Order: sequence, then structure tokens, then C-alpha cells
Amino acid sequence: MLSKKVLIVLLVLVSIFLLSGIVNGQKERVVSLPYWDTPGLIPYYWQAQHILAQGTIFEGLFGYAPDPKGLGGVKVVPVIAQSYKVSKDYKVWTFKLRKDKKWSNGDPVTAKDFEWSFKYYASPKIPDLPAWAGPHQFIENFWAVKSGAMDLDKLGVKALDDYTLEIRLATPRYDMKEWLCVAQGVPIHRKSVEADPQNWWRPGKIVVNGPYVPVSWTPGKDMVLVKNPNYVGERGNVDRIVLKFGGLGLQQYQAGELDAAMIGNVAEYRFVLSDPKLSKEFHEDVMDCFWNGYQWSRGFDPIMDNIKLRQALAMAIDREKLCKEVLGGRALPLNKYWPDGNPIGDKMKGIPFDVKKAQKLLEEAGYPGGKGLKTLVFYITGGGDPVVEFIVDQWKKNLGINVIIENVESGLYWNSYVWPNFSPDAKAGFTVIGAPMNNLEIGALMKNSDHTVWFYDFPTSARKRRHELYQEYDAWLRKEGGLTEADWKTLIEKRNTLYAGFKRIVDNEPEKLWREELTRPPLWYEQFDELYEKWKAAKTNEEKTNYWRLAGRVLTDQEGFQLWYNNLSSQSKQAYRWRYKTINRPFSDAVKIAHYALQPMQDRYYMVPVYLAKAQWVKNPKLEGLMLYKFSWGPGFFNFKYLNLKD
Amino acid sequence: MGLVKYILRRLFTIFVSLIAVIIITYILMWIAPGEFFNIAQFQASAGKVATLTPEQLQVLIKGFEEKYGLNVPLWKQILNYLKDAFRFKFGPSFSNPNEPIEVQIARRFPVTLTLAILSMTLAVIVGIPLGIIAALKRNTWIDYISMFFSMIGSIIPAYTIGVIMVIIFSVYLRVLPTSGWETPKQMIMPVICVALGPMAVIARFMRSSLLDVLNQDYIRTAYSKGGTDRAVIIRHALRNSLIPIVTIIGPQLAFLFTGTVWIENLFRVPGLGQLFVNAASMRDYPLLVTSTFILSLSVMLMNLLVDIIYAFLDPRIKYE
Repeated sequence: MLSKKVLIVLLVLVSIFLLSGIVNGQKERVVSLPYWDTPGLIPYYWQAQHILAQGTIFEGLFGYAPDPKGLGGVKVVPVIAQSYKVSKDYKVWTFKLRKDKKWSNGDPVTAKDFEWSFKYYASPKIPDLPAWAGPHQFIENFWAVKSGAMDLDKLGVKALDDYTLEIRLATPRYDMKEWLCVAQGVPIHRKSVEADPQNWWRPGKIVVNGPYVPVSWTPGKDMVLVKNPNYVGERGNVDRIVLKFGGLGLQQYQAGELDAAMIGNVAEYRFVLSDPKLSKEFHEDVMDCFWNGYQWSRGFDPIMDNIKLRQALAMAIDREKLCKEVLGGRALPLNKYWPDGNPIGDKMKGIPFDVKKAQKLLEEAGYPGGKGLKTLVFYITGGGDPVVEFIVDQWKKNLGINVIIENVESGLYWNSYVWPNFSPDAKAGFTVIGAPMNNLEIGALMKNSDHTVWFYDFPTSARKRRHELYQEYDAWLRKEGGLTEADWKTLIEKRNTLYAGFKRIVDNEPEKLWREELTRPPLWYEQFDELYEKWKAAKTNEEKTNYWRLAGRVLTDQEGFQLWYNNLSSQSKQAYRWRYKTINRPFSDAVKIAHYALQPMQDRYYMVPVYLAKAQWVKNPKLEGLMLYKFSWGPGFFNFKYLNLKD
Repeated sequence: MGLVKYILRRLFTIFVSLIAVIIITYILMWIAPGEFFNIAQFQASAGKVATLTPEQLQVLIKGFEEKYGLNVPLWKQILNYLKDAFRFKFGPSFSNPNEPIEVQIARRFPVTLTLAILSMTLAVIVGIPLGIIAALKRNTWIDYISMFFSMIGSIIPAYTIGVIMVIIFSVYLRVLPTSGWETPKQMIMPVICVALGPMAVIARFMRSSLLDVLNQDYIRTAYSKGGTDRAVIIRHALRNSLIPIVTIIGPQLAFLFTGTVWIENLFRVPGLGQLFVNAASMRDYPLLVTSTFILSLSVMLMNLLVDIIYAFLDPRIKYE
């Protein structure tokens, strides 16, 4: 038994402890949010952590701030950068850094951190860096450095002093600010990475420069972030953020375990609207960085060469009805790549819903009332898809066309039907497509619709040949030979023929920017000649065969390019020229002319927009500053530094 | 001594079987449509777009292939994998290059093991008595009710039952948390959900097995010797009727190691199921091979355990 005295002392101590918390206002503000399951915290991988690295645990030179009117609901703002200047040719960017920024361990964030980190990302030590998802791919000598052929010091990144960073690019980029917002644009802490290269990123070890530090992480369950005590910059009042992976979001919210939850389906949406409390906490926004629709399968059936057939199908879908009846109001009808109300969308013409016109087009296509047209296939994955069922039903009802739905395994579906260059096994038909912007880079304004130009809009025979060339390109690595001059003879002849074709293309291509792209070193024929010279000097048969194989690949690649260019429709060529004009100017100007590239691509009707999804969520009314992530991976929440929890 | 020899022989069989499983898995992935092994080219495709010379591209692909052990012929890849796998070294996975597969498994395995053991214990504790009662009260309302509940466990997916439980116990009654895996309270719903399926199977097997035994001659003999119901059932019937139950518990337990993905997602239980199911959908071949390896090993070890337990239940069984 405790004596009375001890009990009194304990009581007093507990009271003091509790009172001190209240008096000093130290009640911890904790926010729990749903988040994507995160398999690690290394920022440069294309996994859920790349979103967390954009402003929450890491910061780069630039970042996103909320802007309801901005594309993606964001605007690009300087974060560690204080100012910048760019050369006239947009190839040399010089950044002045803020001097007050710190790592979570108190070390200052300097230009040297950026230089070291960017070189680390570029080094061959990380062969699986998803370079396409970051700004490094444009940096001078990045690919040579990555392949190990050039020393790291040759990478076009240099700290001119502790707070000045220079980035030299291989090609002009007008959107480096936008690119530097993404996860690969953040620095990592050199000392901690070098001290433990395998585990530096684990909670407890990780040193970050963002407003929050991860303190615990269980994949499949949750992650806990706490305020970075050394953070300098704008930040809300939330002390601790618990990110929960998976589970029943809405029910967790109702049980008071989450401060916000995404609404995942029509049933939840209707339930929320019918609930007096939840309906007041309901929010929605349009995911305008995506378009959802269908694309023709990437097979080789000549049926799809018939534009009137493609057009008829695109016009025979009642998108209003789809959004109202099938998607239950959780989407907006979309008949162009960008919606009305958007500066690009406002200048684009939509695909009308016009059954009579569609029927007439079908007749002109040679299939009156759908007669004579073979049964087409709509590939899906993961079981039933009400949107596809609706579209197929519309085509049957409005045009008399038979389309069967074929369910395929998910890996096969994505790799072999949706995103490959060509799908030799695919029957004439379609796949669903949700085409997003990955970030605010200018090229992403095309929303993947440029696949129309790359892989669709040239005749089936040429597409088939191009596919064969892709296979030949790979087969060259296994070919035996290349030991004698005789082996080179045919290659040299081919090189000369291709050179003549290439020269014709360059001489006749009217768009200067495209010409510049084509003639940017290292040119394919220079590479070929260099390989030939190396072959002559090679000492072993193995080396000789290797150079011969590589030279064969160079030619196959070039043959594929010429085949593509020479068979492109005039509309697609025109669209591509506008694409070059669009991506070669600052973002604000690019938005003004992007429709010139997008409209002709849309008017080829290979990739057809159908609806625009809405992001819907419920939120604790006391929680402010919650930012919606609208790019690929979205919808979700991100950039938690603006979170504020009202008392 | 016979038992030790038997176990050693069985372990050797397991070893050989695992090699066969891995070889078959590799070959199946190799011939499966959709280019399992082409990820290196996919990763390097950005290089083709950029100004990358074929030599640089070659080096880049080589670096990637080396990281994932793809730079050798298939037979050697299999051999390398086997050498490492029997030391529980599985290397990196495509979908999660942050950490080696064995680290991911080591973190998730205890969770799955706990979930599987708790669920199976619950399934046995409830399923066996349910089956016994149903058998002893055959064709009465008790039998019907017992079998009705065991039927529910089989028919309604555990995921659906989980959602209903969350709505009742977490949202309306607020007596249990919706999810998580730290406190006993958080474990209640996932354990019940996972247990329902095996519980139903055990109850039905127990019922039919006991009925079968009760019709045997030796039971009649026991009764004719003057044995009471209680004595005959406990001493003679139950022990023999448990043998088929033990047979099904082994594979059921092994299945729980990987077959609980929906429950894991629903209740945010960080177990192996999520990891392994994602491997297939993401075409992550190092992880897919490893999941096959682990699952096969679990099933084989469980079967061995079951066979050993047989001897304790039925002395007639000899290990040869």
C-alpha cells in the first residue's frame, strides 16, 4: 500500500503536469489522413513517397502552393530558391538560394547539397532511377554519366558558391522551374546517405529539409510525421500527422479515426449526401489534369485505318447520360482533352453527341447500320466495368455495332494492351484509358494524346513494319558476325541510303524546332561512323561483334524513325509541329497555343475523351489547408505544410 | 529413431520439390505473355528518347540487369536464385527497390504468423465443438443452426463480413477501432474475419467425420461393453474423428500466410498477403518467385507437421 504522503505527492505532480500543458497551450495537434501505401522513403523512386517528397518531408528549389485557379489547383513558387536567372537559350539556369534553410539535424541547406544529390541521382550507382519522371534527364551529359561513360564531374550541375547553383542543360527547357518541383528535384542529406547508404532513409535515420520528419513507418499500415524543429518557412500549426494506408476510409472518418477521407464510389457518395452531418463536411473538385475515355487497341487490324469509323464511334456516346446514370454524378461529361473553363479547353472543339451524323459517317465508312463490320473487342481488366458496358451498349443501340468485352489479367492488360507501342496480339477494338499529367511540365499538357502521333496515325502496314523494326532492334544484340569488312558492307550501304532519306526529311521539314531536334548531336550517322572506326581499332572478336551490333541498332532505329515520319498523316505532322512550338516556350505561353497541337490529335479519334472524374472527400471542419493532389496517382492529399487545425 | 529418419527424408523431398517449383515458376514467367523480363528495356526507353548513344544505352541496361541478376541466361538466373533462396536472400524487387525482399518479408512475416495462428486457434476452438454438437444432435434444430452459421462463414466473403463488422462495431457502437494491428482490440475483427472460413470448413468436416466414426463397428463394440455416451465419444470417437481435421488444418494454415490480402487491406494489417498479391499484379518477378517459394515451403512444412501429428492421434500410423 502506498502511504498517504506518497499519494499526495503523486497527485500534485500529475496535476502540475496536466496544468502545465493546458496553461502553455501545449496540447499536441494531431491530424490523421488517408495516404497511398508507401514502400520506402527514397524520394527519387516513382512510388508513393515521391508525392510525400514534394513539399512535406523534402523541399526543392521550387514547390507547389495552393491556387484554386491554377492548373492542378497549384502554382509554382520558389521554396529554397530565392531568385534565378536563365540564359537566352534556356539552357543555363542559375539559382540563388535562401540562406536560412536547414536540414532537420540543423545543418544548413546549401547549393552543394543540390550538386551532390543531383550527381548522386545521375551516378551509375542507381541504374534504376526513373529518369523520365525527373528533371535530370535534361541536364548536360546526364545520360553519358549515368551509363558510366563519362565522369560525374562532367554533369552539368555546379555549386558556384554555397548559395548559388548552376544547372546546364543539354537541350533548352522552358519548364525547369516546374520540373524542379517534383521529387527528383529535392536534395538529400549527404552525410547521412554516405554514413549508411542502404538505410539512410529509414525513420530515425532520415535527415530531411521539409516541414515534417518521418518518425515511424509500417508499410501496409501507417506512417507518422512530426514537425521538423529546424524548419524555416511557411507552415501550419499541426504537430503530428498520421498517414494511414488503406482501410475503409469513410468508416474510419465516421469513427473519428481520420480527419479526412476520400469517397470511393457512388454508394458512398449517396450515403454522404443523405447524412445530415457528413453532407456538411463534403467537398469535391474536378480532376482536370486527367481525361478518361477509350483508345483503339494498338493491334494491326486495318479496320482502324478508317477515320469515318473512328469518328462515328466517338460521336455515338451519350456522355451526359453516362455521367448521370452510370457514374452517379461523380464525373463530368468530357468531349475534348481539356474541359470548358480551362484556357486550353476553351479553345478546343468538342466531339458532339450526334447519333444521326454518326450513323451517316458509319455508312460512309462502308458499314451501313453496322452491317459488314466484324465484332470488335473492348479489353478490360479486373472484372466488370460499368463505363465500358455503357459505351458498348451505346454503340450497339445507336450504330448497330457489336463489341464484346474481354477481361484480361492486369499485368498483361497494362503492358500489352494499354501502354505498349504496338500490341501484335490485340484484336480490332479498344481499351480504357485514363491519361494524366505527371506534373506541370509543358509536354504533359498533351496529356498523353501525343501517342496518337507516335503509335497510331500511320497506316497499318507501316505500323506493322515499325513493330518488326523494334524486334529487329532487340535482335541485333544477339546477332553473330561483324568480324569482317564484308559484314559491314551491307550496313554501310544501308547507312548511305538512310542518310539520303534523313537529309531529305531535314531539308524539307518546315518546322525549325523539329529540324533542330533532328540534328542535335550526337547524330545517328555520326554514331554509326564512330562505331565503324572503333570496330576497325578493336582488338578482340568480342569487341568487333559488339560494335557491329551497336551499329546495326543505330540503323534499325533510324529506319524506324524514317518509316514513321514518312507515313504520318499531314494532320499529325502539323500537330507535332505545334507540339514542338508548345513545349519550347514558357508554361504561361504554352497554355495559349497547346490547343493547336491537341485539336488535330483529338480529331484523329484514336484516343477519345469521354468523362472527367471528380475527386470527392469529407473533411473535419476544423481542418484547413488540405491540398488535393490532381496529377498521376491522384486523387489524394499532399503538401501537408499548409495544414491548420483550428481549436 | 524412425520419426527422425522420416523427417529427414521428408525434408529432403521438400528441398527437391522446392527446386522443381522454382524452375517451373521461372519457366512459366518466361513463357507468359506480357514480357516479364523486359523491364530493363522499359527503364532504358527514356534513354532512347533522349540523346543517348547505343553504347551508353547498352551500359545503362547492363547496370540495371546486373542489379536484378538479369544479365545471365535463364538457367543461371534460376541457379543463382536457388543458391540465394535457400539462404533466405532474395535480392531487390522491381516494385520496391528501397529494400531487399527478405527485409520486407521479415517485417511482415510475424504479423501474418500472428494473424494466422490466432485465427486458426479461434477456428479450431469454435469449429470443432460446433461440428461435434451438430453431429451429436444430428437432424435437430441445433444441428441446423450450427451448420447454418458454418455455411455463412463459407458463403459470405470475409471482406463483406469485415465491412459489416466495421460499420456495426466501429461506426455505430464505437467499441472497436476500425483498423490497425497494435492493440488486442484492433486484432479482434481481422482475426474473426479470417477465422470464419476455416471455422466453417472445420465444423463441417468435424460433423461428417464424427458421424462416420460413430457408425464404425468399434463404437458399437464400445457401447456393447457398457460404455456411456460420454466415455465412448470422448475416448473412442473424438480422437479418431480428429484425424481428417488435422489434415485440413495444415493447408488452411499455410493458405492464411498469403490468402488474407483483402482482410489485410481492409483492416490495415501489414502482412505478407498484400506484398505477394501485388507481386503478381505488378509483374514483379523477383517478388513473385519468392512468394511462390515461401508459399510452397509453408504448405510443405505444414503437411509435414500434420503427418507427424497423425502418429500422436493414431498409434497405428507408423513412419517408414
